[in-house]
Amino acid sequence: MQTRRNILKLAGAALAISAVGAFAHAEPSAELIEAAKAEGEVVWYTGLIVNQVVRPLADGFAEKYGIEVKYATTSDADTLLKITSQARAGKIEADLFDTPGTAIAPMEAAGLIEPFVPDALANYDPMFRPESKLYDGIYTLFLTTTHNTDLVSAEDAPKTYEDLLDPKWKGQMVWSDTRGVSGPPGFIGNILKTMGEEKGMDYLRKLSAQDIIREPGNQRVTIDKVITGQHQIGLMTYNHHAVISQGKGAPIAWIKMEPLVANLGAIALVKGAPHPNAAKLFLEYLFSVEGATIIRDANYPPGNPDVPAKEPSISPITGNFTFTLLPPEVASQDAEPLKTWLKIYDELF
Amino acid sequence: MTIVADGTQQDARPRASETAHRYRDPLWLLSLAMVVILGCLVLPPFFTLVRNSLFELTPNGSTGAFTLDNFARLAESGKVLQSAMNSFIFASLSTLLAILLGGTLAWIVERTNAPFRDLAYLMTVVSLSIPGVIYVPAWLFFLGPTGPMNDVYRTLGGSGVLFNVNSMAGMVLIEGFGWIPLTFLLFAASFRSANAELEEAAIMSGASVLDMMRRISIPLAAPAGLAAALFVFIRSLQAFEIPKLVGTGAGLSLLTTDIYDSIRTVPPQIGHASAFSVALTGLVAGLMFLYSRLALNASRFATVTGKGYKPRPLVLGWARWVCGGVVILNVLIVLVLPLLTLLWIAVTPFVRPVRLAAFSSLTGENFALVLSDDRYLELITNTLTVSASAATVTMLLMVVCGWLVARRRVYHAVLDQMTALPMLIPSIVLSVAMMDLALRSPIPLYSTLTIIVIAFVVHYIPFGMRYTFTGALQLHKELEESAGVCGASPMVMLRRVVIPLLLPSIIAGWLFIFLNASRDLSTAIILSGPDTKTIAVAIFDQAINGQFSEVAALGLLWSMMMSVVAMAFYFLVQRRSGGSISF
Repeated sequence: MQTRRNILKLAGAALAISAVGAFAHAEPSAELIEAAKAEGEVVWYTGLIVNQVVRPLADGFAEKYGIEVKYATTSDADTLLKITSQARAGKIEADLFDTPGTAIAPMEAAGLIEPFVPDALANYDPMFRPESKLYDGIYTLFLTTTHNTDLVSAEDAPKTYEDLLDPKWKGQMVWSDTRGVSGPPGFIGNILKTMGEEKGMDYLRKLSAQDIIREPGNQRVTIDKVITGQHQIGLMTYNHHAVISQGKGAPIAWIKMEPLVANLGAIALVKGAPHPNAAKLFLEYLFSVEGATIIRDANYPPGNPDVPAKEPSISPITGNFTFTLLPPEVASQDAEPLKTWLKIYDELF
Repeated sequence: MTIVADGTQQDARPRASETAHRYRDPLWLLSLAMVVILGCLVLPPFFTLVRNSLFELTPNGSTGAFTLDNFARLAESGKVLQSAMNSFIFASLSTLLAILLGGTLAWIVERTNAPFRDLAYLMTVVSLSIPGVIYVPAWLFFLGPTGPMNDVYRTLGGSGVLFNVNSMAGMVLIEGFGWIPLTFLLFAASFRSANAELEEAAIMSGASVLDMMRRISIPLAAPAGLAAALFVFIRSLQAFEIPKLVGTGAGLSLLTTDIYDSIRTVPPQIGHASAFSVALTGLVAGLMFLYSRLALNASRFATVTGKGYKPRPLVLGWARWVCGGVVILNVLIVLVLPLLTLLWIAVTPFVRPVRLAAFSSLTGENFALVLSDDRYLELITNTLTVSASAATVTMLLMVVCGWLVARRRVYHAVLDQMTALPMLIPSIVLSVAMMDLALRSPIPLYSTLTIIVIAFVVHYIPFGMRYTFTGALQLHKELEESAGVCGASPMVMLRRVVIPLLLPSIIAGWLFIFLNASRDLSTAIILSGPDTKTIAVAIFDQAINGQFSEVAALGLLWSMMMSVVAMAFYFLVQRRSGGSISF
């Protein structure tokens, strides 16, 4: 659970850069590089944006080590369908897959994750390298409240969760109907974790009377509906989306409604991967300063403490905000606590 | 002048008993071969469908214990009746809308001298190349509360919204509009080859144009109409995207509303979608039975006879301008409005209402972004290869099947059922079945373009069949019989008589499948591997990661390219055939 302590830890890690700098920049071992080169290629199933993240990483890696990165764009649901089918047939094709969290638990249940933490993660905050070693965190994204600045001025905009109960927002708020931690169930989880069971439920019951509109589609669709003025307030929208659109002149701003919800983008190694060493070497590269710089340039706040976010305000360290991390461990729709949060969502909203 | 068969005396049914017939039919081997090929293509995914609906899914994706939960869940919500009613209303009205608009348009284009007729085919080709992933949001924006329509209404002094898109009406409009190109093509193929003499005779006997339409044109188009209606009805009943994307805001629940969520869950709950399809199969089997009763009297509709046939357009007076108006209306609805909306979205830096003030901020940035990306060459090559192969294989198979079924040759009932089956298989189930098949196949098929082609062939069999079957129904047997009398073997007769006469239907079907396969997202995403990426993958990548303006720009450029490819193909065929084929 997420508090200012996390920030302090992050900040501490940032301050420690100089101390661990030498270690952080250590090159992968010669044996790993050799074994990886012998395998010749690595296959990566990804949901990341191809022209800004996937291709630059693939090109950089190929240039540095001469190993080709083959990638296929898939959603979490497809990733799971594909890799489990491959495993049943004994013909695994994928070495790595990334996910906003949801695929980790089901892939683990299927016995298809090879625990691995690259050395390059050593100086990252612990939330990026869980003890289970099932996944490695690439970046955190932050979900919060946004408002249309033409319709709602900064002073009038709600500042706290309590403010959302103001009758003037009744029927004016929208959220996506994503059934995961990056949608309303994540909001519910955040409230219950922050306010406690009893007070939290009381709050949620009041909030349900506010008639929040459910918008089918992802968080980008939701924020676009706020930008067009169809709704005044967006809940559970990404702060980096708001910043990108703001840069293009859109009437949108994000509100530091604490704690924000943090969503971890994770990558994991497939058990029985055909190119395990090349995959491990790729992970070392991804988490190095080089890799993190590519992540940063694509507007994501990278987890690497040596690489500051492009837009300082969207990162908790430089933007100074608290957050509740909803890591892959709580992101499985088949397991608690998300199951309960979904139930509350279905009952109340 | 020819006396046209209304031909009730001519019985298309084989006279000999079925068993005796089987041994006597010189084409039994061909029929059997088709049954085997179709069986291999269609049955594995269908078994997967039934299995998924009846067994639990274990974490590793294999099937676990037997369960009826998936079916119980269909009936669980307690408002099944309400949902079923909504689904029925939605599917019926969408079908009606598509048939009315598409059918009328086809009649005007093929049968009259109305102006602007040429626009209709252009409209169809272009609209069939717009990916659904941008088509639905375009309509949602256009009809939405901040869209141009409600904007104009407010400017004129109205308050609130004139039209609420999040309603049954909104759902029906968007679903129905999407089917106009298909219904238009199916009707057009039928009107084109139907003999115009019946209509001419009616007019000469003093019937008004409306009387003629009611008593001649509409009954003549009935087989094509019924086939198209059944088709659109089943597809709309199964649609989950529009009910979800449009209906959620209205709190409307349809039978398929939950399916959208359950196949997007991780892991996807394919059992739920499968159970729905299995239940629907029962319903559809009933409808199919009704339909096959109708097709029994097939030769009543045979109007392409051995005697001279050349449809002549009906010369309309002032009414031709009314008909021209209908053409323009269709072009507006199907093409111009969604395209302009998409263009607006693509050139604005962020999604915003249409305002004069916004014009100063227009930008070509989204287009530049797409055009500067050099990976598209590989994607385009793969997509064209896959779509063209799938269309060719499907039409080759279906021209034989369509004719065998229309002539009620041996095994025709089996063939008819099998070609209809894929209609009931949701594309995610089909893709998963194909993936399993590829992984188990001794020949390496997984992550190849071949497996994507096979999946598309299965998916588009019913579409191909509609074209060739309807076309074959209209060919009178006497043409084939005279070939036989002249000593042609059945295969020669097929090649020299049937295929050339069916060419318009074959080409129309080919183009339809080619365009649809090239914009199909769901099948291609699951089946494409790192080396077999198609354009669908790029659109999907943009759709999950990018802003809608970028998706719109990519989609528009893609549609433009596909339209050019389709047009080039069309003109090529036109020239080769000496101008006798009109799509």
